[in-house]
Amino acid sequence: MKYIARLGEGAILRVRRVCLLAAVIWSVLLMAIRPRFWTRPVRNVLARQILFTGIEATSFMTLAACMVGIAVVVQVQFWLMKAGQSELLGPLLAAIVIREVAPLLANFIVIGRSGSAISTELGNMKVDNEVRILDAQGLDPFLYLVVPRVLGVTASVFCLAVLFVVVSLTVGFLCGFLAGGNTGVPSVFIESMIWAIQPGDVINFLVKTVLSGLLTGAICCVEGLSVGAAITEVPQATTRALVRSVGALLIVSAVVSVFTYL
Amino acid sequence: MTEREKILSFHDVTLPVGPEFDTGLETLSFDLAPGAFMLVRVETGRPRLPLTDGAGGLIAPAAGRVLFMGDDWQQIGPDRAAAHRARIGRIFESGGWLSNLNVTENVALAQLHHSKQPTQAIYEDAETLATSFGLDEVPKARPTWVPPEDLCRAGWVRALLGKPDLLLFEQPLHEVRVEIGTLLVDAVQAALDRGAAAIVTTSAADRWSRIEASARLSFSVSGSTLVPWSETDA
Repeated sequence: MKYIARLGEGAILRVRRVCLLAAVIWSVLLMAIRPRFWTRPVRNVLARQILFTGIEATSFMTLAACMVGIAVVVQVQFWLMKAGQSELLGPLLAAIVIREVAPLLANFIVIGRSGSAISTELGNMKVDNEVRILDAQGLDPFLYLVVPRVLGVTASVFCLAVLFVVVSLTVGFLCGFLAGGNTGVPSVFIESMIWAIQPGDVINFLVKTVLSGLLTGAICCVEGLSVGAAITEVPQATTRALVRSVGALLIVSAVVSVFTYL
Repeated sequence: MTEREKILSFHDVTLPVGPEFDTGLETLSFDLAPGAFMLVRVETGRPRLPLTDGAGGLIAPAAGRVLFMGDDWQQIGPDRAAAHRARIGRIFESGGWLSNLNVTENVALAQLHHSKQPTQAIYEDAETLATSFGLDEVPKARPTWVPPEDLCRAGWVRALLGKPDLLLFEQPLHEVRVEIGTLLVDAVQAALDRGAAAIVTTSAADRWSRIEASARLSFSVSGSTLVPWSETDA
């Protein structure tokens, strides 16, 4: 009986956690569409978040996209040439990169780079009583700390994923061309990819980047703000935030793929 | 005088002991009308009282009611509470700085959030106040890198920016020399003259003896109660 009770407790806890995240994301979206909440400090925090999570990550994202572009092209071209279908290089690259790799990798990089920073920063603010100080000055901590961070992370994940797609496909084309693959002229390559992209791919890409970004932002904020009074809780909260963000990302990625393509 | 005309009212308020407070406060009753000044004498090094947090509606009383501008903090929604807190100037005993903003940003933060005043005008008001407190300018560095006396004065600037209706000051002269402290006392006098009310907790009650208020309440802490105290007996 005790074992079953423990199982039930765990399940209830997980459902509550999901409900909390859903509530946080819903509140963020509701606040985001009301202009009166976009005061100057909130806009500043959003701009800083996009600068840190999006703009400052572009060089690393570009590098990652180049490496993935080269690696994927070499693999795909090798197998396509064996099958005598090298003209399918463009569409296949588009399918692999747009559907799966770009949303996943962009979010992974954001989790590693910014997710840990967000949860650590908010955890330290909680320990140092800075959240209470915001409240004392009439600034809603949720509005000032959570809303711009979640939206900044989401916008950054989406933009970085787009950047990843563009760079990796460009590098893929160049690499395929240099390796003597049947890539054709750039206009044909681009056209073949555009024809290869189905409406489902666009929805898949949007959902995977936006939903995963919202979840990453919300999870990192919630875990950071869950810290109590001890500084030793901060690294624990950060670890939890990273693990749960990665878990949510993988689940979203798998579920969305299943619903889109099955 | 109606409740709406009073700035702050405590009706038989009991504030519980929290993790941040050394002692609770029991059955506290007082009213602060415009121009009223309340001095609470505390011993040096004594941990914080829940008085200012209770007055600002940050902690719920275990019993009784705290009214700000006639509104019970426990009966109003978060938006109205936030708007009310915009009318309160606070000096925190712990400093109360956001470590990821520089001091200038910290000082202007609440005004930028609440007021419709142009950004430049807010920063100019802050500079004017800083100059009146003997600072060359509001420090531009992060709080950690600013000398304690300058940081303390920047805290005064933040508390008085936007002409608040209620001043809640915790040990405001703790880090400054006597001659600089008089600048704050004069600024509080000016705020009282224009109709604000003030609560000051201090271990240097004599430095506030110059204040002339329409009503003056003086208390000292005894256990978990505030007992009236005559400043002339000090």
